[in-house]
Amino acid sequence: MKSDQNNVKMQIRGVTKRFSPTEGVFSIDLDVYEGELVTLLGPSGCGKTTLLRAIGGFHQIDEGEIRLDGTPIQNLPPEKRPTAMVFQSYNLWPHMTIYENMAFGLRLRKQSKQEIAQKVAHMLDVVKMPGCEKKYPAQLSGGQQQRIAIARALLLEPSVLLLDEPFSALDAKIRGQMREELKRIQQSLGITIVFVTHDQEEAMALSDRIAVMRQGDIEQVGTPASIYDNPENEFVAGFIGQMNLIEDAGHKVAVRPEDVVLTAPSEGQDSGEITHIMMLGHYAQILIRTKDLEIRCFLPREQATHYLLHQQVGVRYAKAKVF
Amino acid sequence: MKRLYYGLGRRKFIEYILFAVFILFFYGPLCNMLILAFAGEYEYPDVIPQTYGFKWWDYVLSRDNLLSSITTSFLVAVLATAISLAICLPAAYAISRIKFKGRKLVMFSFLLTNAFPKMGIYTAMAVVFYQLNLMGTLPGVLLVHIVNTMLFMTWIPAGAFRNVHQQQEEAARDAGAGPVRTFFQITLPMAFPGIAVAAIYTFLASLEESQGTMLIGLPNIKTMPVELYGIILDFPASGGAVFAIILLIPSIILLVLLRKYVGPDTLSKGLKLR
Repeated sequence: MKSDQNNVKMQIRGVTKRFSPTEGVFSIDLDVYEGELVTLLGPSGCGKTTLLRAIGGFHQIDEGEIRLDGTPIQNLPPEKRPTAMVFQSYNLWPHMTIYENMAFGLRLRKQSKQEIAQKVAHMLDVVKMPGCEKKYPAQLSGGQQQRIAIARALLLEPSVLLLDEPFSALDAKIRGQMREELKRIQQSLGITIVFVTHDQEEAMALSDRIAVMRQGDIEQVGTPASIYDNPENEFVAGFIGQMNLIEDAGHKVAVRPEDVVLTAPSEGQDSGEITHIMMLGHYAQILIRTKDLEIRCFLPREQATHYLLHQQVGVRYAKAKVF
Repeated sequence: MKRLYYGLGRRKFIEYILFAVFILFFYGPLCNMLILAFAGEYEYPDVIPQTYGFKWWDYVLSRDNLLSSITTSFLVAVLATAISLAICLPAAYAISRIKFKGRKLVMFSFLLTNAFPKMGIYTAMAVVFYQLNLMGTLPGVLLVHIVNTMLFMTWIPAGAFRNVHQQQEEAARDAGAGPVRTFFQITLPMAFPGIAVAAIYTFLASLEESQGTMLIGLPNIKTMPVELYGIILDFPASGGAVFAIILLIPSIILLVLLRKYVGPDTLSKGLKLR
């Protein structure tokens, strides 16, 4: 990780925001380091957006403290916080040109016209949309609008950039491009980002660290690799990537499909019949029906061609996690 | 006729007839009014005037009380619109943004003034206004006009405010604008079309309001529609026609200027109960 582990940018301590006894976020602790991209990941209703909005100042928190650059910010209104937020959609003001949209915050800071024009032009270059100052938001595509929204947020030179599912309204191809773009911008500007998403693939692709959330709590925080390889509980194991959850003597054993090895019927830890073979591009998915459950297995395509439907095979678990 | 009937087909033929009747109903009286207004000599039994001219225009425009009623009318309409905007816009904003208990009830309450015969309400108002010495005064007339327009002035702007997404306001706060600046620079401009439509309706409704103005405003406040009653009763139809055209001009100008905004779309959006 390129971020300096000792340099804490934002400290969240015991933050609670209750909408009802079961809805909200409860006693959240999280440190965000300088220059890193942290993703809040979880199913809908887990409180990830609530937490992000609390950081941005759009929810008054009930308890706890949010320190940004060492200063508590939890009692400041959004306009006084050194944060900038990009929403899922409807970020831009349709009655203003792109230039006016982007200059809005800078004008409030009483910067000179020349300075603003220069900064806007530079930022449009950064998001690869030079020369569209005079256009109106309605003349841009959804992806372009989100680029402008990110550019507008970056112009505010925030201490932390908050992104609330900024790509989820875009179609899959553009979403992929935007991820790469965001990663590039983040790395070149060295900016600290908190990113909210329900898409685990997006989280894996973008994040320096991921905080997996469920029902208003953070379940696990770690690098994408550590969360993928060492999920601390069943929920995280099941939510990130594909996972076989096998009941064994009162324990749950979690095995990644790529860690399932197929053997001769007598040699494995378990055995069963192949019920399904599906080509998924460069790898294949094979489903094996054992006595009491269905095991999912990913094999490279070459190997998968050795197996036939209804064949009896043994399964061995190269790597397993017991809960 | 037979040729036309078979040439067009039955269905089309009936449609054309209905359309012609509709046009006649709609534009017939307007045409008649125009002819009357520019008539010079016009005596029974001729269908159209014998001579044309500006005789009645001279007459109407030379009478002080008619001229002053034009001024009064516009003064009342402008004031009523401005005050109504000041009262109803905050209400509309609250209804669209804040999910308080009884929100729908509040919205329905604006319907109340339109649910009863107007004259009944005016009479009841008159009773109260006597005690408050508001009879025959400008504030009294303004109150009557505002009561009439509150439904449009809250519902349509509320619909317009609802179309401004919360994220768009929050983005402005995020960029450093306080709540007041956000309202005036982001929310208000975006809701402008709806507000403009409501303001036009209010303005036009105020221009043509006569019942309440007559009851509350007489004898001191005489607007154009009130004077029109007198003219219709006391003079030949031509005088009334001239005056009616003068009353019509602002409506036409406003509707042409703002035709971009005034449409079934804005109206239906505003009148949805959400």
